[in-house]
Amino acid sequence: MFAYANPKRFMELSGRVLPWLAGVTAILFAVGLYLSFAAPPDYQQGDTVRIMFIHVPAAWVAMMAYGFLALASLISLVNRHPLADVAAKQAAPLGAMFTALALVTGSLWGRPMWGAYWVWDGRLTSFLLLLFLYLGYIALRNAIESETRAAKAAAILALIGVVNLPIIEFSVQWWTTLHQGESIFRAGGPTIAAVFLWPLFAMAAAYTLLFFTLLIVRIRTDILERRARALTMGHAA
Amino acid sequence: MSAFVALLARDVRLATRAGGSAMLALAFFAAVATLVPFGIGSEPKLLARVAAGIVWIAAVLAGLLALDRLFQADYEDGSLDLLALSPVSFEGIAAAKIAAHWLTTGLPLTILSPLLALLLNLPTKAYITLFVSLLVGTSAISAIGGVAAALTLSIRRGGLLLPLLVLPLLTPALIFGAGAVLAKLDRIENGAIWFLAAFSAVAVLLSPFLTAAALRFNLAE
Amino acid sequence: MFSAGKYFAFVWPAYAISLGALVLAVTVVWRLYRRARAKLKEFKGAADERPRNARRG
Repeated sequence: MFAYANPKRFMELSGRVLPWLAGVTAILFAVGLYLSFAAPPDYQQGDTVRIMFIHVPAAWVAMMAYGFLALASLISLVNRHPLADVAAKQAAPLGAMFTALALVTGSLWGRPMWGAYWVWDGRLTSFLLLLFLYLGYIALRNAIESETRAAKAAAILALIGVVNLPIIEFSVQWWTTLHQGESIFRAGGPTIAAVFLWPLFAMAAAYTLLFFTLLIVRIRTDILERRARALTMGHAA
Repeated sequence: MSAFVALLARDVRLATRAGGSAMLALAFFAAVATLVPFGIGSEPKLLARVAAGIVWIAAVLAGLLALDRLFQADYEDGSLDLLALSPVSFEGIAAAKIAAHWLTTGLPLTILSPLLALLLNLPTKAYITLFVSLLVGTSAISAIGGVAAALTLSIRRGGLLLPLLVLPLLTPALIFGAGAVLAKLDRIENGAIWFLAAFSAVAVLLSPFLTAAALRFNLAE
Repeated sequence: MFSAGKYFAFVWPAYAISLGALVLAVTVVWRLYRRARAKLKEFKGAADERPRNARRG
């Protein structure tokens, strides 16, 4: 991992990897989308089950991205790996986007399922709070003027958030069972039929690779911007 | 040790003087709780059901209100830099300020809560549960709020950011706190108060270290 | 309880919004990258800039 510590090396490596990564992502999306619409309608949910193929992957990436954010924050605090902080900073808006998508698709799934665009289901509520955690991170980073201070403060916030996240999920789950008897957001039922698993995995893989593709491009952008800034300061001096 | 106590006493004195954060928080707490019936109607059964939640929400918001000035005032006039040079460690400073915040907001709110419960028609059998839940839970508000206040220290108008940062992190406290009272009303034993106690204990124990870390790098440059 | 075709009405907006957002994200991220690259070129001059193969024109 420390081989990538040098931004120059990162640019070289990512430059070679990126076209392949993007290509595989595109293929996975094509396959996943095809499978999503080729799958038969569910016995109970009808065509609505297809929303699962874009809701669950978004939710999965939203959670994974936060874990990534926290890990990158930890590394930036402990090891001072130069790119760890950049990775964390760029992961946040992406994670927030996937969280918002999870919420929107969950809401659209909820309307035909339970007749309401929003229900205080354990999963949706947890994701709403996750979105606030992301927004708080982004806001904190942007509000602090000093780049180094902003990085450290945001890193601490991310670590507090990741520790608190299971607690939040637990408490929300506990709270929904009080009021509604059971968590209703069971994708496709207690066991998902195999015919639904393939589109789900394909889309999940596509979403995950898309996250990393976008992340790598964002990190490259960040590195280029820093270089440009360094050059302008050199000229000014 | 006496430096810690001195700092604690100073902060408590500052907060409790006229126009200090203690009065403000208490007034806000009372205002929210008394405005609720005007907002949702005064039907007794409805109020009884929402009373615990209302009081708890009011407590969270009132505690947030006082957080803004927790470190800000000392940071702006340079006192925080002087404190950093004193024999008290950063952890000590953090602990003293968080404790002062709790003593001047959390504790008074808790003491005032039975009165508000009366106004909001909470059944009397739940008063003690409400009191205990607030007593325990407000410490989490002060602790987590303290960390957030230290993180936002160098931001102008950082207080606007505090609710966004703190509210998701405090959700478990609210859920378990209000949940404990509701459980009492419904005659259920669901361990809510113990979850709350565990959550608050961890928050209180970790907060001085996290706050100190934030203070350190905010003062470093 | 649910008839299959009726609820397709919620499926296509979900897909439209999701895919639309992802396409938008890709476009924005790529545009920002190219803008950064162009800016850097501007500052560096053409001297030591290795030609990069752009994936898209």
